[in-house]
Amino acid sequence: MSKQKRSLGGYRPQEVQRYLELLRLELTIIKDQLASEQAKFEERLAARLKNNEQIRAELQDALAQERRIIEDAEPEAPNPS
Amino acid sequence: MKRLPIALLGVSRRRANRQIDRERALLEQARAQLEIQRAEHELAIKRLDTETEQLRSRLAEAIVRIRHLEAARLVNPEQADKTVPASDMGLAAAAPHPSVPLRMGDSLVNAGIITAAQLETAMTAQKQFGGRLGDILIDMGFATDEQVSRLMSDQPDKGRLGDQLVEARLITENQLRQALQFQQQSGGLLGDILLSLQLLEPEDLYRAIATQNNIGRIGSELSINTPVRLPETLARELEIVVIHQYINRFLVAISHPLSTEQVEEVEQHLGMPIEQVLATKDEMERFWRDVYGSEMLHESTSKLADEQPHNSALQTFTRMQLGVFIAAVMILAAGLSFQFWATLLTVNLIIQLFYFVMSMFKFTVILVGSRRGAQFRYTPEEIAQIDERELPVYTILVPMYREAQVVPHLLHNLERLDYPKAKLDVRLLIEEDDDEMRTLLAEMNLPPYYTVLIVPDGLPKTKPKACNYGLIRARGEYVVIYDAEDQPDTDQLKKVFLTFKQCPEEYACIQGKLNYFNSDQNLLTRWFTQEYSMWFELLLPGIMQLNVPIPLGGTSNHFKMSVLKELGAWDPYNVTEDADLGIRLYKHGYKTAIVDSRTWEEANSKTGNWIRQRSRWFKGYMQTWLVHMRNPFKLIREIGFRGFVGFQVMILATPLLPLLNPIFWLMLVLWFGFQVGIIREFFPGFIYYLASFEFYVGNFLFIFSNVAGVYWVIQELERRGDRSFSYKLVRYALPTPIYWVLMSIAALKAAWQLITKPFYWEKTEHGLTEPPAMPTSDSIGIPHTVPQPQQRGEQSAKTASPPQS
Repeated sequence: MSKQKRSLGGYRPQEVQRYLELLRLELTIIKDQLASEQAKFEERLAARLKNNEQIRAELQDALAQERRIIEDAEPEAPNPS
Repeated sequence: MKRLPIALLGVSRRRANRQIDRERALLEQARAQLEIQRAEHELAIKRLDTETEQLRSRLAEAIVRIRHLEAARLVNPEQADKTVPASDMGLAAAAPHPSVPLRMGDSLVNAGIITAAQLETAMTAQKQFGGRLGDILIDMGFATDEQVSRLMSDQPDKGRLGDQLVEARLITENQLRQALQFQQQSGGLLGDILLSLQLLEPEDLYRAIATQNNIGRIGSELSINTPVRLPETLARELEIVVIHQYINRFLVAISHPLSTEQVEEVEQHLGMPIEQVLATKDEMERFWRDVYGSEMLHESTSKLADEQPHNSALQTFTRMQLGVFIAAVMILAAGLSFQFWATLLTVNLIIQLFYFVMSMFKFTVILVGSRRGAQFRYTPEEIAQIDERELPVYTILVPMYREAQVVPHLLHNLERLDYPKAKLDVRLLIEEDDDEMRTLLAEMNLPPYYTVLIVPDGLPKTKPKACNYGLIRARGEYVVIYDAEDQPDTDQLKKVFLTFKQCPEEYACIQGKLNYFNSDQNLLTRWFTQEYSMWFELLLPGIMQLNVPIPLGGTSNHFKMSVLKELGAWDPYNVTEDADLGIRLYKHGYKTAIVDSRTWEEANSKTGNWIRQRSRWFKGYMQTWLVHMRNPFKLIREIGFRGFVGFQVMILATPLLPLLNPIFWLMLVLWFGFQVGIIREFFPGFIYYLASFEFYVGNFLFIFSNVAGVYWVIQELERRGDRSFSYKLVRYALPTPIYWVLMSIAALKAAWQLITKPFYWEKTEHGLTEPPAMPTSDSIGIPHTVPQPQQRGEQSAKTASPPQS
């Protein structure tokens, strides 16, 4: 900052420096937040997907059971003899 | 932004600011990214939650079915579900008529692919949310894609829509022939014609179209169950709304089937396959309001202010205007302090010159407007020769607020329009808090070309906002606004069509002439009629001839839809949005023409009501002037010097003269009544002669132009054998100055409101006068599509006041 061009009515270098640091710090915080929220989301998503897969499997089982009961109840084919 | 302290020989501010801006931009970008990410996460979780809900509900249903099956087996082991006929489950076609093909669901049951209980579950979902049964059966895991596809290929050919409707006994062959005849004569889609002739209910038609196109219909459940939505621009372009999420696909309500490319585009956006379900016009409007209501409201209130802030009246006075005003007042005060008489005389001279220029310009315009060719005129033969197949879809916007008493008349007047009904898109715009109108219209069996739109509550609550809202999903190539009490000439739309056809491309607006059906009611309505006759019969045609900006009238202005949308439509913050739009059209190089077709309105017959209405008009003209005069030099560049003078005469003089008049009337009274000597000092030499010329000649010309206008109308109506005006109207021109006093009161009110309540819409009460008797619907061949006559009569009797004359 000290190498920067000076002017008669300029800003105090240390103030500029501090302000820029503040902005950069905030940027870092937001980036961290982005990454942390993404990680949390992936966790939640995985849990939900797993849960859904489980229910889906239960549903498949139930549908298969339903089909089995229907087929079991089907009268046997007439014996040609 | 943080303010950094200034120091001697500090870091260059420009360089430091540049660096800070760069860092801040990065920060903003990151913030935006965080917001987007959060929204995406929320949406993804909601989607999965919906899926979980669906899976759970299906699992529960499957368990119930299994229990039933097991219970049935225990009771009677010989009888299984399969043996339960579909008809016992409330399903038709267990034993179909030999000539009627089996429906797909029944075929699947009969083939043993699904059970009747499964079919019922799938049909319940279909009834609720819509879609094709086959897709639902696959989604529920009851049948495979292959099984359904095999069965679908066995389905007979659907045939043409008309034949299909006849076969389904929804219409008779005679009705189909009648509709086809209409189609041959007027063009348009068969479905629209059948609906316009009220031969079919929209639900039946859309179901038939869906079947024909092998797509589904929406179900009875009209609430949206998914948080997923398409970007509004894409949804608007394709006219679709995502309404439901099944496990393996989205249901998308459509107005017309999508092409393969469009389907791919939508699926790419949604990340899952879609199923198209056909929705009627009203259903689509409802979905749009539910899903994109906030965007539509934002567009209707803020589009112009966002995109063209320089043309919006959202800001009444700019800083520059306030600065100029303050400077002018200071110069005037300084002048009065140092050179009292010289300053006063200079001001008086400027005013007198303004009066003079204005009077001369206006009279010249009127002279030019009296030429026969100043309006586009058509003979009945020319109208009859129009090939109706060429006529485009026409949107009619009718903004209404607390005007239930005029609704029956409005519907009757719209029904009388000589235009193929299948090509009309009538949009009745009702405010959300207007319960009476909402109830009344909900109870009416309106024809299908009517759409009732509830404009969401929110500021500003103005007519242009309602019109913008109605315009968003309007279908017409042309669009016109009518007020609820308007009685347009029956051939007006056809005349406008001919005018657009005849005019060069730059003509984007055709203004119909307005006049009053209750001209003879009292003194006020007579003066009002004279003024309107002069304005619409002579002045506006003259302006058109001289090619200067036209301040459009409040209703019966017909636009090319594309141009209107390109200009950002109406300014919701301007209380004379019509006049403002006329200026904006001119600024963009578009022209306006006057067509020789009248719309009959109700003249204000009560003084208070009249002052409210007129104060709104004056305030709107003031707003318009302030908006376009933010940069006078730019305005001159845009509209030329002649246009600029015309703008001042039409837009500035209209509210300014009534504000100035009382000062000179007071002087007149003081001089002629009391011979107050000081008055003489105001009018030395040249100013005296100029003022005398205006007093005698100017006032005569104003009164004469009113007489000429009304005489013009009387003569024309008599020649046509149309409704007639009494010649007695002419003599009421003499006491017109009393009317000018009312104008001055309204102008003062307008000036005060411009500062205190610039966007407040002074509502004019309509329905104070019963319109003249019209031929009945039967006598003019209108089907009984609108409200029950009894209801209408009751409504009118309750709310309408008797004529006051």
